[in-house]
Amino acid sequence: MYLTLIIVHMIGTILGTGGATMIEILLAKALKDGVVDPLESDFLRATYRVVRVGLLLSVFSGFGFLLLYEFSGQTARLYNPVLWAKLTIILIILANALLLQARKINLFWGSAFSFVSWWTAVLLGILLTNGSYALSYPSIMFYYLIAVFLGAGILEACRDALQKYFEQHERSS
Amino acid sequence: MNEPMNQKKLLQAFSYTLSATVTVVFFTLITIVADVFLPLKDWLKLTFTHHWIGKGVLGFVLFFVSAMFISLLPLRLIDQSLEKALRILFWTSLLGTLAIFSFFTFEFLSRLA
Amino acid sequence: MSDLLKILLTSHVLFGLIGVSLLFVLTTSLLKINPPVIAARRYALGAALSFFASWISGGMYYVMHYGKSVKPIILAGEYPWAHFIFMEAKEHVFLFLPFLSLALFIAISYAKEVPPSDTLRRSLVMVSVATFVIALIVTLSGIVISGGAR
Repeated sequence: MYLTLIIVHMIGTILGTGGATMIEILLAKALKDGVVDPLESDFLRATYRVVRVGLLLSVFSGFGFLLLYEFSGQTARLYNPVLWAKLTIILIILANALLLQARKINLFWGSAFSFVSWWTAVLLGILLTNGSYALSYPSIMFYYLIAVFLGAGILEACRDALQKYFEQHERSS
Repeated sequence: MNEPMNQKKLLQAFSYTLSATVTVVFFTLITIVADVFLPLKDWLKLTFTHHWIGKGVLGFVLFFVSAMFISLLPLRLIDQSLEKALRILFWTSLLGTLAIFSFFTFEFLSRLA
Repeated sequence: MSDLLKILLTSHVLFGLIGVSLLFVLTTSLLKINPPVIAARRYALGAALSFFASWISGGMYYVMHYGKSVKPIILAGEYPWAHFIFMEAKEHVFLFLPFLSLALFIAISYAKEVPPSDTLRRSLVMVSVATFVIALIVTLSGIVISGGAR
C-alpha cells in the first residue's frame, strides 16, 4: 500500500510541478509579443489540466499517507510542522487557482505563487521523508514568502529578457 | 423552456435554498442549545440512541419539510429573489461555522479556568 | 482497529475528499464568464452524494468506535482540545455540507433552464466558495483530531 501511495504521489508531483514549470515557460513564450493567441491559449489550457490532475493525485495519495499513519499508530506525525506547512501551501495553490480564474490576482503574483508553491511542496515532501529536519511552521512559511517575492521578480525578469531577445531577433532577421 | 415551468423551477430553487438556510440555523442552534441545556441532549440520546444521530435525522427531515412548506406559501408572500436567498445562505453558513467553533472554543477555555 | 473500521474511516475520508474536489471544480466552473452549467450541476450533485456517503461511513465509525476508543485517548493525552474543540465542532459543522451542496444542485438546475444573469452566477459562486471553505475546515479538523490520539 505504501509503495502504491508513493508511486501515485510521485506521479502527481511530477505532473503538478512539471506542469507549473511548463506554464511559466509557455507564458514567457506566449507573451513575447504581448498577446496570447488562440493556439498558445490552447496549449496553456491543456497544461492547466495536467496540473489539476497532478494536484488531484497528490492530494488523494497524500491523505492516503495520513490514513496509513493513523492505522499504524504513527499519529504523532500528523502534528509535524513540515506537514502543516505543506498543507498550507496546497491551500495556497487552490486559492491561487480560484483567484486566477476569477481574475482577482494578476499574472505577476499568480504565476509566482503557483510556481514557488509547487516547488516548495516538493522540497517539503523530501523533508517529510527525511524526518531528521527540525523546522518550525513559522520559519518555513517565512522562507516560503521570501521565495515567492524573489520568484515573482525572477519570473518577471525572465519574461522581460525573453521578450527583448525575440524583439532583437526579429529586428535583425 | 416555457414560462410556467421556469417559475416552477425558480420556486423550487428558492424553496430549497431557503430550507438549506433553515437547516444550517437549526444545526447551529441545536448544537449550542443541547450542550448548554442537557435535558435536550438526553432526550436526543434516548430517542435516537445518540445525540448526534438525532440532530442529523431531525435536520434531514427539516430540510425537506421546510422546502415543501416554503413552496406552498402564496407567491405574493415570497420575494422570489433567488440571488438574495443564496446570499443569505452564504452568510448563514459561514456565521454558523464560526458560531459553532467559537462556542466549543469558549467552552474548552471555560473548562480550563 | 478492525478491518471494518479501517474501511469506514477510509470511506469517510475518501468520499469527503471527492466532495471537496468536486466543490473546487464547481467553483472554478462557475467563475467562468460563460459557466458550463450542465457540468456544474453534475459537480454539485456529485458533491452532495459524496458528502452523504461520507456522513454515513463517518457516522458509523464515530458511533461504533470513536466515542468509546479514540475519545478517551485524546482526552487523557496532551491535546484534549483536539476533541473538545475540533471534534465537537467538526461533527456538527460537517452536517451543513450535504444540504449546502444539495441546495447548490437545485439552484444550478434552475440556472440551467435560463441563461444565468451575472448576479445569479455571482451568488452561486459565493455559496460554492463558502461550502468549499467549510469543507476544507472540516477536512483539516479531521487531521487535528487524529493527531491528538496518541
